[in-house]
Amino acid sequence: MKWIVGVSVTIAMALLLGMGVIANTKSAEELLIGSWEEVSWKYEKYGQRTPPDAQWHELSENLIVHQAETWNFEDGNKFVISPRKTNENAATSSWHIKGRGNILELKEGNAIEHYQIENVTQDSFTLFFSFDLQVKGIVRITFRRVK
Amino acid sequence: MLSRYSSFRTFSDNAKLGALTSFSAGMVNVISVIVFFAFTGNITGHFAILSQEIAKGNWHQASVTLLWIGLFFIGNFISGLSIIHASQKTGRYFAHAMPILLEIACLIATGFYLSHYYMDTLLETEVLVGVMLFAMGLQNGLTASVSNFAVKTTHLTGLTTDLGVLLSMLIKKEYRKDNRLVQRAQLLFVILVAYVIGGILAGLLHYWIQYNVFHVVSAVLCIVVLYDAYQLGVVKLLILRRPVIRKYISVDPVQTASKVKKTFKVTIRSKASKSNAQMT
Repeated sequence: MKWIVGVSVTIAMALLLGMGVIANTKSAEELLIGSWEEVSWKYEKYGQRTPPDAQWHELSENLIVHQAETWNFEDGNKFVISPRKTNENAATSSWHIKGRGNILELKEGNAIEHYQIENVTQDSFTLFFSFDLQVKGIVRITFRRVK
Repeated sequence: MLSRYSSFRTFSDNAKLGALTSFSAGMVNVISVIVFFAFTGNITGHFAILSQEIAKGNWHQASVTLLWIGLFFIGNFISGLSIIHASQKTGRYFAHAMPILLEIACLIATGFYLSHYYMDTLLETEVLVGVMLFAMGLQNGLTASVSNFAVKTTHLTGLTTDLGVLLSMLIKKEYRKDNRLVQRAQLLFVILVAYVIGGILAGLLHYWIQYNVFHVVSAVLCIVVLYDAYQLGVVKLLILRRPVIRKYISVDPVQTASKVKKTFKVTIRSKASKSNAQMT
């Protein structure tokens, strides 16, 4: 009987601890709000081959490379990408966090993009973008918070 | 499907229960992946994710996963509690139907919330996935408990393992003669196929009826509950008590109910004695 009480207390404590942590930590949704500058794009499985070859072109065929842009996640799920060049227009869409806080969904009209959030902190966050099951490479995008 | 317990259950009881509940579990799991990007039928993956998030130091996500696992566990616990402890007080049928009724309530509430109030926030996702995991826990606890752990319908890891081992045994002629092993393999296959069909159907239906898929799942689960209610004569009694029907059918409802009850008791007794004879 003692071990049943022990197991029950352990499970109850673990669940209470979980609730406490959730109440006292910021979710990915709260942490993402603000402006983020792209720092790097890396094709994980492709490596660092230069100059770009046929494989790179295949990987990036249907991909819009938003290099050196600022991603703004605003309250009310408004998402704005500001390009570096001032003469280009900013693209507006909406953002949502899914799963347990590990999926970033960007919606622009009927177009929907999904990214996996690898890591998010106050100062930086990393996304993985997998765009086709057949493609071997996964794009890893790293951001730094704009202060 | 629900009234009979443990060794009194026939192959047909387990096959019907397994097919209908795994069909609904497949639907729920696929719809949760489409809408929330989270699985709600299997817990193995969530344990792996919990370990991964702890290793990464993502405490918020680790805690959310821990609570999801906890809710699935609580669902199983409540199911067991109802089946084992409430049978004597409420009657076996109601004690066995209660987890399914609770599951239906959870799924209808999820579907209703998604259709009318969903704002696509993370908190909503976390709560609704939790509710669905609780519902799947209820279902898995029920099917496992009433069938003496022969039917588990929300996850297929153990089922695929058992089916693989069983089929390897059935290659030998002497095992093929064992009706128990053959029926076990058939049962597992039925569950597997029903789960996949449920999943495919949920994926297709979501494009047409969106969140109303949850109501379709609830309707399937209602069949599980009402099938036994019909067998027990409760539905027959309710139908016969309706004045319009009674006008055309000259049957005394009270007499019919007692007749149904008597027939049911005789059937149960004969099936029980048959299974006891088989066991000896």
